[in-house]
Amino acid sequence: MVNALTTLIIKEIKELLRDPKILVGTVLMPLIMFGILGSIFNISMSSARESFESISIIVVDEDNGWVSSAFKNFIENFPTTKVNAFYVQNLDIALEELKRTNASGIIVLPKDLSQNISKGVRGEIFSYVSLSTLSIMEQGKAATFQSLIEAFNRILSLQIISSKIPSMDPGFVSNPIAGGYYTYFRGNVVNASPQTITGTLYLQMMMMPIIIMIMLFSAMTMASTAIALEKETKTLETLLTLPVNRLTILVGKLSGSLFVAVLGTVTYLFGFNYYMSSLTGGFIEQQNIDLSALGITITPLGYTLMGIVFFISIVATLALAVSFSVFSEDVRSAQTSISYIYIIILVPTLILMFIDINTLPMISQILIYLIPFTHTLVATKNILIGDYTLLPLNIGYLTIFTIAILYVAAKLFTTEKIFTTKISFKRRKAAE
Amino acid sequence: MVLAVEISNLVKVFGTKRAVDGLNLKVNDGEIFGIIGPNGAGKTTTLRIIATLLKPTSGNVEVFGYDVVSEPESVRKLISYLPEESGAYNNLSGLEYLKFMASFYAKNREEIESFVQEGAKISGLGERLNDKIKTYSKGMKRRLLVARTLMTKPRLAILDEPTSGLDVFYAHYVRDVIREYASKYGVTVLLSSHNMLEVQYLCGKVALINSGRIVEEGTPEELFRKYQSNNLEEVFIKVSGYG
Repeated sequence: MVNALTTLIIKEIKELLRDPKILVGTVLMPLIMFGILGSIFNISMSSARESFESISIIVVDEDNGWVSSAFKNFIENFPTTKVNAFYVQNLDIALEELKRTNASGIIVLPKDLSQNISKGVRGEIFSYVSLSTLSIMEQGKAATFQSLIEAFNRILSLQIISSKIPSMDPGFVSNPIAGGYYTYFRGNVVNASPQTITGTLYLQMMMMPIIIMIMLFSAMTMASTAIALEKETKTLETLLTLPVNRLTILVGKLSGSLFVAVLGTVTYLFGFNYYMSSLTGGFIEQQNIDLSALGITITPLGYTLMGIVFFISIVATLALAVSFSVFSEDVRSAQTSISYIYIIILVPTLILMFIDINTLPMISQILIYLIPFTHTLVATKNILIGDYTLLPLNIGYLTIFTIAILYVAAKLFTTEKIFTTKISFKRRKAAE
Repeated sequence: MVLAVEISNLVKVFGTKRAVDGLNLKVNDGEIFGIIGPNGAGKTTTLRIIATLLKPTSGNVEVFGYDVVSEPESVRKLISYLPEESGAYNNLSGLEYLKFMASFYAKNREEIESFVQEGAKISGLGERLNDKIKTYSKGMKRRLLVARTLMTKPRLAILDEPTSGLDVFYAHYVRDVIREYASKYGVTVLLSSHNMLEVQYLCGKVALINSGRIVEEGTPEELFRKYQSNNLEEVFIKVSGYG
């Protein structure tokens, strides 16, 4: 006999990939979705960037003193943004102008500003930023106003210091101490502030559970569809009378589903990477931190272990999906059946995204660790930071769970219950 | 001589319903054997047990001497089963489907090709075999499935309503193919049908089943004589007491 398993896997992949719902929904949709999102972000970023290159400001000069002259001179030579300033007499006129034009906001230099500062009394400069929408892009506009005023403040401060203490460097007087920030993490020291490191790692730590969750969901959908399609199209009876071991049929189904699920995850990662590069190419500056100095790097051993954890988890998910969908009459009821399993993946994912499990009460920790997919997520996080202490426990628990579920799936697949029991949501009935 | 099928005291219970209730049956090698009976009489359940899909509640079922419960894999090597309500993989082409099925029975690639050619000939679908199955009509699908069942020349073909959904011409053609396969290749055929004419035309031996039991058995001629009838429909009415 020609290799039955290969034949089954090839047929399974063909059936799944030729199903438009699966091809578009699982394999192509991430590329389309993230492609569109990334493009939209790129377009809005470039338009935002253009708007920051030059900014229109209405200046209300009630001061007419040396500070307002200095301010006029300052904004005309502002290095990062070309500032087009329009001068008006009072705030009412400025607000009218703001309504009429597309100026970004108003800066008010109040009466007696120069006089106050000359007397050693702190002066105030008011800004009115115009928010045309409530999008996050508008934050940039507000930041430009803030940086304008802060930069002017510093220049003014240096000017005052040099006039009051001419013998000293005004830069030194205003800033006699420079902070040096280092981070100590798991026995390693790196020259960066903890905020910078956690900021950089945050994205990875947040995204890792999401990617794992999507991969497991995708695998589950594939496996349940593969089984339910056989029932829906009434091909299962014929398939199970073929001269091939039932376990081979089950393994063929799981492997075919695994292949398509991995394909879906790869396209997801491609799409996601494009989307993230659109984000990081914009506002979020790439941080040049040597994470490997902190031990945050995945070694070849780490990659191997991560591969093992993923593989065991996916097999468990597939077997779980088969066990749940084996009694469903069609694809729709199979997908409804497996939606109940989503929760045991979703719960640890959400918890691990926001909370350190170890900070929870003992009873909650035990309950969360009983969920097998918690171990997938915990193991992955630990591999990322090079901590392999709990890995044998994680892999051991996942393996035992997977073997148990595979056994159940195999048992169900070899019994006649696959034909005689039908689940339509909560209803069970025996059929001849 | 080893019997193709030997069933003794077969009982199958689903919950509280006795779908098969002490059924006994013997099918000789090379025979075309027909099972007829009303809906819910236990025909499909019996065929599913022979095809190793269901397990008997009690009783014995053997196919060419192999027990369907303890040696199902040996049984599956000898049989080819066509369920009454059966479909094919919609996203495969007809040819891909035949090749997929043939690969489980063939010893090598040459044999796969020969089975597929045989299947293509039986189906009579010609160029349409290159199209995806989802574009086929109900009749075309059934022709493909009949072709799939017979192309590997199994020792025992179990056909549940083989001509269901076929037009008169193709139903006639399929009956001829079944007869040809039985006589030319020694394929034993066990079929169930609602179409009495079909059973009368095809089968050397017939069993009438009612409420999970065989109520009459014999060649069509024997049954005609015994019940003084001209066709199996009349025999069936008289035996079942509906007349």
